[in-house]
Amino acid sequence: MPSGRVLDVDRDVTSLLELTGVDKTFVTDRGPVRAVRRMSMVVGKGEVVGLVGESGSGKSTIANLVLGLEHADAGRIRFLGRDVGEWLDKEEARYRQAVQAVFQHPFQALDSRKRVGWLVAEPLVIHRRGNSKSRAERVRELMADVHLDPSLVDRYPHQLSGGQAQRVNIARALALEPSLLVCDEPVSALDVSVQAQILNLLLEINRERSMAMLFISHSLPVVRHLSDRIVVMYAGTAVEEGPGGEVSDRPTHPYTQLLVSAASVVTGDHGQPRGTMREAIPSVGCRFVPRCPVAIDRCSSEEPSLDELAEGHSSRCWVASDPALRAEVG
Amino acid sequence: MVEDLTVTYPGAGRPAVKGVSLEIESGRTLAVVGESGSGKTTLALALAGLLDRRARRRASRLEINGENLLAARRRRWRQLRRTDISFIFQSPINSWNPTRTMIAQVRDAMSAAGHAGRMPELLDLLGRVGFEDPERRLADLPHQLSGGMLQRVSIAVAVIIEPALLIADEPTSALDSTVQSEILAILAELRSEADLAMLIISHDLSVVARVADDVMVLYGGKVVEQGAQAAVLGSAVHPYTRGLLDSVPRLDRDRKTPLPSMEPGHLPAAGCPFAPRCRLVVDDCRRAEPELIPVDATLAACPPAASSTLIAT
Repeated sequence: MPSGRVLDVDRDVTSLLELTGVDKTFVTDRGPVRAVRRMSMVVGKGEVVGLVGESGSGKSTIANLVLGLEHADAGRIRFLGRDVGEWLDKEEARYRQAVQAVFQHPFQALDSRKRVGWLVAEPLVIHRRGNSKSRAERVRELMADVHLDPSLVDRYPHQLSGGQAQRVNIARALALEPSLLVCDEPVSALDVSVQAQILNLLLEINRERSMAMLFISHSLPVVRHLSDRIVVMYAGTAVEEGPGGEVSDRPTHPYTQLLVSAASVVTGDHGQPRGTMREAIPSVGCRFVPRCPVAIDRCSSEEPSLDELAEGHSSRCWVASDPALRAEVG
Repeated sequence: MVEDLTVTYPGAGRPAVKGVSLEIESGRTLAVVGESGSGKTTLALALAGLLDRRARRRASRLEINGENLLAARRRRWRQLRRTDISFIFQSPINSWNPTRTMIAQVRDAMSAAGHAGRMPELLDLLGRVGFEDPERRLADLPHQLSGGMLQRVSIAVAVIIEPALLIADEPTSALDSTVQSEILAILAELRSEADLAMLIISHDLSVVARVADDVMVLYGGKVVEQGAQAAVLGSAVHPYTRGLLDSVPRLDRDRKTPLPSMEPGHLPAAGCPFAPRCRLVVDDCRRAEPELIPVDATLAACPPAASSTLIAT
């Protein structure tokens, strides 16, 4: 075994990853798009945090910011108490070892001209871990960890199934024993029967290595299944946050409630409306107003704050945070 | 309407599609569910006359709009694809010529279908499906539009020519996962307005639940279960269908526990294609290929499941 984790995650900081008031605006040919607005969230050590939201909610931008692929316009992103920008300036290699990622399309993330053994060893080579003999041994271990048959070591990506290719990506991500694994829609492109296998593998990795994960998905059931805590994003910011079971079983924000009703579709109960299609997002007040079944006047003029309604369970909704109003709308 | 369709690719041991029969009435949607290698795409290509020249096709009936197409030549198929059969492919960017503007390609498609005069209607329809400012944006080349936008154009053109049959092969799986539900809502809405028969191919059960009236589950080229959507998703009989449904995370399931997952398995040379992965397998399954028989509310090709269901009830 190599020396283990490069970063001392037991250092005296409370959280592994912490975002505070993060803003990110993209300039497009149709004007600026504020992808992330005053976003705050925390991932604790060994914790799986699920980030759920629809297309354009800003969830993948969060992943890119954490991975240093984009830079925030404002706010702070800290890893082990230190700004990500500082990590990347001073100790980029250590940060890249500590924070690894798995993406949606398994084949796009793999060099099609390289064999599986080479692909799994690549992170070790880049970070100068061991010699060729110890690396070959480590590749075998990693392939066993992700339940890849050792005989696949000489295959090229096109000779793999989607599930096998995603296992190769996970093995690559695990090679350097990261403290945080960022997973951006890691099962959305896979066949249904393969999705369950990959989700089970991620659960196993989290349990056995107490590796923290930022797990990003549009699917509330998938996020709920894996996560210790759930953060629901809408139009660039967190609208609800809390323990995994609480947010999905007792949603307080009307957008989370919409996600819950949409998720009951597969269970056969699909008389539910899907909610309206993406409306123009207002620039003042609550961004969800055009789709909200319970909006009051105040919602259009003043954006709600993220208020704690129960232990560790917060919601950004004027109606949810007011017991009288909540009783009224049922 | 197809009866007993079998398609074999040269050099392949087993047929890609074997003995499949289906019928879709206009105004209805049939979803074909299956994983990679199940034969679902081959089935769709056969229905659109798009099979590889070397593929061997056999069927006892193949009709669209009442026309017998068993002996139809490529030319007739080409004509049908302009006017009567629309196809929406998985990859929106590969469906369009990268070197020509969208408007030029859309115009060509419309006039080939004999609907050149209906451009204004198409622009209206595009606006309705969330394609903003269609007149200006269609002047762009395909790569200047997002996958979701391109797929909206594919769908609008596919629907407006009023085909008898619309085939959508994984129309949302190449898209950013969350544009999917918007595209599905559009498909469902336009399909019911246009009163056409739709065949949608998908491996995603939530897609199926949202758009399909009827469901056909393919495994190893064979239909293993079929029936009304609510019956197949709600009270599936075949162990493969049940396995698919069980492996999906649900809101009413224990969190952070392993999901029941079906281990991969090879396709056997004889017998039930699912036998190597099946938990109900008995010796007979490896000898003869089971036929579809009515069990509960669906048709299922699984004698062991059928007899245990009968005993249970």
